[in-house]
Amino acid sequence: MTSRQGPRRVHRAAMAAAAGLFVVVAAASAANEVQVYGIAQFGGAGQCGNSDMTHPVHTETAKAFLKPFAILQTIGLWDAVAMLNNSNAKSSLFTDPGKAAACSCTADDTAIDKGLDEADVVYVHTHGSHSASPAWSSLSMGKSGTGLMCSARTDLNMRWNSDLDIAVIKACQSGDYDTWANGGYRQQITTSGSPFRMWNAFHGDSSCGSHVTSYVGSYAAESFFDGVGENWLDEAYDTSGDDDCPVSIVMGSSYANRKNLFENGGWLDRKDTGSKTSSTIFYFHGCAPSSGRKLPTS
Amino acid sequence: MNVTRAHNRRRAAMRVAFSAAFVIAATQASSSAQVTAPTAAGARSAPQPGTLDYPFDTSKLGPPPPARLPRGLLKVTAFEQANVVQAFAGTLQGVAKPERIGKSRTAVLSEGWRIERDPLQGALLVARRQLGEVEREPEAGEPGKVADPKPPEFARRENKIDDARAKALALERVTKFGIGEGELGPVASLRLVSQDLNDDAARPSAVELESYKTIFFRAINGVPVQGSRVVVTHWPDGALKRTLLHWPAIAERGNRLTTRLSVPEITRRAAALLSREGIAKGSRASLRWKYIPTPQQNGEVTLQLVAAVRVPAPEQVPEGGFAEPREYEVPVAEPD
Repeated sequence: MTSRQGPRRVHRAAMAAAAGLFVVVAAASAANEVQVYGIAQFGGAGQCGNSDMTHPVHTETAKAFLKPFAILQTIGLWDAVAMLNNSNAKSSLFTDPGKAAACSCTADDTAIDKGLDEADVVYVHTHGSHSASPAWSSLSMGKSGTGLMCSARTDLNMRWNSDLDIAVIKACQSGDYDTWANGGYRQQITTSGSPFRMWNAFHGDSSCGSHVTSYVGSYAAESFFDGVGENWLDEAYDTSGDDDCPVSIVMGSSYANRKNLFENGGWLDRKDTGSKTSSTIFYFHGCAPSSGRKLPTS
Repeated sequence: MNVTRAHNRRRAAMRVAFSAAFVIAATQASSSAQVTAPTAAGARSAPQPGTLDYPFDTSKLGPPPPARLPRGLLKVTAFEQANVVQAFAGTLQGVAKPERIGKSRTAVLSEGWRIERDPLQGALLVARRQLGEVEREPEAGEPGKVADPKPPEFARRENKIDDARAKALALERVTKFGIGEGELGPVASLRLVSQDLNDDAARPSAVELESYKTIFFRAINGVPVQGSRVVVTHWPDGALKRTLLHWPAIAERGNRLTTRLSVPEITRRAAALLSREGIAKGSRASLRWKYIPTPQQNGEVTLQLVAAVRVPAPEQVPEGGFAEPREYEVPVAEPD
């Protein structure tokens, strides 16, 4: 969609929720867009990184995330779905025009049906890394070339100030605790008036395989109305090897508003959290991944 | 990664490499202790082509599981609304008509609970309804009373239980639902916590306990079933908050629960798979059994045994580089 209506629309949906599920659906279905970005191919001509990074599962999970939305679209409860994989997932679509100078790169995050800040909900599966100080997380991109970056960073590229409400990031180190504590997400990817309110990601490395396709599809299907943050933690935690430590970082004006979205929000009920002046990180006490500190216990 | 952690990981890597070499040698010399019926290939004593390219840790690859299911497994009928309510909600009052919210997923709202059921996927989400569905808190300068007490659901609750009590309470629920010991695997007792970073504060607030989460993973004959878990969440005061469940019933027929392949044959297949996937030679890898479920039209699943190969993330990762523990599946199951 091209105009920002997020908070008002979700506000209406939230009011309607008290009256019953069907009313919520009707109110919220005015315009809802999801876009998924599966970046699986690396190391080839015009691609980023090296061939070791190639992993086809990344597009499989993107497809799994999209599927429940497509089903709801067929019964009139969701408006638009789009999949932008590999070379279609490039840094310009992750870059806000206000940061084009900082990154010396092309900014096109509101490109219709392509840019992240033009959707309401996005899912990204790629590789990631982080720095605690200076604070940032980066996501590996699917295309190299003039004006493009092979790593889109929270500090240099991203600022969701147009339409995006919720981002789900399946990438290692995409929600690092120390990066958050040092001001790495809210302060970089929102402004006070941004609609953007939830960044579901991982502290440390996160494992990848067919099990991810399974839980990502489940997470998408069960999060249309409730638990959009809490479901992410319930689904993505794993301890088969080193721990997988999902986190949910929620931006908003008060703890109650942020927790309200974490527990009671969904894709069709993206609860208004108010001004993006503060954030709350939700995580599992003592979770211990590779490439990240053991999460605090007190 | 700090120095101590890196040092510990190097030591762990050395231990794994040593133990893997020992295990490979042992299994090549005599694999009969770990297989039900070694094949001709499994009886060879010479190294299998490619297996030495990867230092496999096979210590978690015990004897193959038996070809039979345990008794008393969950039935599809457990997902009927009445059973779900008695197990995870108690009672329903003021129930609204179910609404379809997916291919086979429906939602029901009562005064106290929201119940989403998907019997064909073996999935549930039962969550206590909260006043969070009212408007957001007013901000300074907006109509409303900012200083009003928060709704009780958002107030911090007194901590009256601990991990063990939360686990016991959760086990009562899943047992009442119909999940028996025969399909319960490892249990994780976790605490969901939160911290705030307010305005321009230099440091986060103190860690606050939100809830206790007990995660039941599923295992059949000791082998984990991919995608199956129940997460039961209690508030710190012991009240049940929500249950998220993926636990499809297992069909009585059509499962492929065991294998006759020897460990050397499995490692040979695993090495070939990792090579095809472009995993660098010399990468550490561990093997374990796993069941992959295949959905059937009636809501049941059939299980197929695989050997799961876990490759940890590289120790050193440059900016924009690769850091991802990966898991692959090696087909090992016998045909019906």
